[in-house]
Amino acid sequence: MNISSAVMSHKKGFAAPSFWKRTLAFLVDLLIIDLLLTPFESAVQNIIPPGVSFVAFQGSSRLIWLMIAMSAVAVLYFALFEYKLRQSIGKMIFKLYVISDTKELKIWQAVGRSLFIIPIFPFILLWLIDPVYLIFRKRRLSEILTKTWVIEQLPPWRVKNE
Amino acid sequence: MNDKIKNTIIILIIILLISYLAASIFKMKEGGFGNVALIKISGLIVSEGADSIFAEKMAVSEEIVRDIEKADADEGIKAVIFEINSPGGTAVASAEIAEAVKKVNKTTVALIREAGTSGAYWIASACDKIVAHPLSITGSIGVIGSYLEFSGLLERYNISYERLVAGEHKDMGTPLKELTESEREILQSILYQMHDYFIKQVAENRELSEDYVREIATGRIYLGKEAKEIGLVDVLGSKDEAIALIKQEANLSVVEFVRYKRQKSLLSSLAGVFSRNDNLEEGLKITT
Repeated sequence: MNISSAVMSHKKGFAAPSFWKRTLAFLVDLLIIDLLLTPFESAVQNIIPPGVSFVAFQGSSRLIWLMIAMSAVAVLYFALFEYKLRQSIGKMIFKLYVISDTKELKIWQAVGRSLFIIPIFPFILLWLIDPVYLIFRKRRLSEILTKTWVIEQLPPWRVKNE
Repeated sequence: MNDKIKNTIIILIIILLISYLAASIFKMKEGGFGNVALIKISGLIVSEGADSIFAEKMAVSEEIVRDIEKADADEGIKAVIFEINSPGGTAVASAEIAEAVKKVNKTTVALIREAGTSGAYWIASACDKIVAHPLSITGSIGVIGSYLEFSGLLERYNISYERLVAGEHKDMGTPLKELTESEREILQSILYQMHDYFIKQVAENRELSEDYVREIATGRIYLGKEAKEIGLVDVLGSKDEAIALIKQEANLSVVEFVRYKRQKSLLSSLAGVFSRNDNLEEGLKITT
């Protein structure tokens, strides 16, 4: 089934998911990303020895490059899954789908909506702005900018009542 | 298999491979970005280590000196920090490391964590500055050669020591017989000479008078804060203070550590399991 067209044509069976459902799906994704970043563990420890505060290494170019590389893996996780399958693993568990305002979800849209995970200015601002938008507009700012939506597949008993 | 599951697994494998490759680049770049070499001196200081995977943790002077020389030769390295957690070790191994430290033409800082006593303090004293935790144990400027002597026990079980030597003092220090007066004098004289050398080195390294060092070099240990009061330590603190000191001494705005890896092949580690560990040899062993 083409999810985009299903929602765009206001077919029954899909709706905007709740904030908590999206948060839980995101937490599942974070856990998976954490596992995918395991190979970086020793590289991080090489830069920040155990027992030293992170603050002592602020401004370290090596650390910045490492953070960029780790963020790229996280962006790749969301972008690849959402572009190819319209769902990340967290979204699969909660039956959430990514759709586009345009006919098909483009790769730039998949990448763009995932950039929020980069812990560097200006993307880091989205850590505050995106949840606020999600609460009040049911759509993250990153989603508005990339013309994408996240929708939920409703169970049959809910479709009848919608 | 469901297409979605198959695609999910493929994507996960692709990302994991990319993650592994990216992390490998950072591991390969060891030393490529950093400006401060971090060299650990943990455990007993010895000149040669055991290869066994079950061996006690030791600071092998041969490996440490190699790391020091590597750091000194690397133009990107502006300072060297020695993270010390050692009770000391053999005199030669400690001296070898201390001499290598003194040859470094860069800022050197010793960070004493739990313990930096005896030979480990000797090494620390060779650094430009010493940072020690207030509760760390340091000092112990002395030499020890004590050992267990079993002759009484052997006698009790009617086991005799058949002494076959060419050279009167050849078996001096064996645990199987009592020391003679002349042997005791020889050994004690060796210990005094080593102690004297140790004192002179500490006095020279710390720019203290030899008489003063002799006065405090009774072999007693000092808490970090006591050591600061008597001039054996420069700054009290831990890693954060050491980093701040390095920034100040080497005029660095950012500290990026480089750690040299001492890799042992699996084969040599396994071979070491079955090999004899000379450091566990019985009898006289003189350590600082």
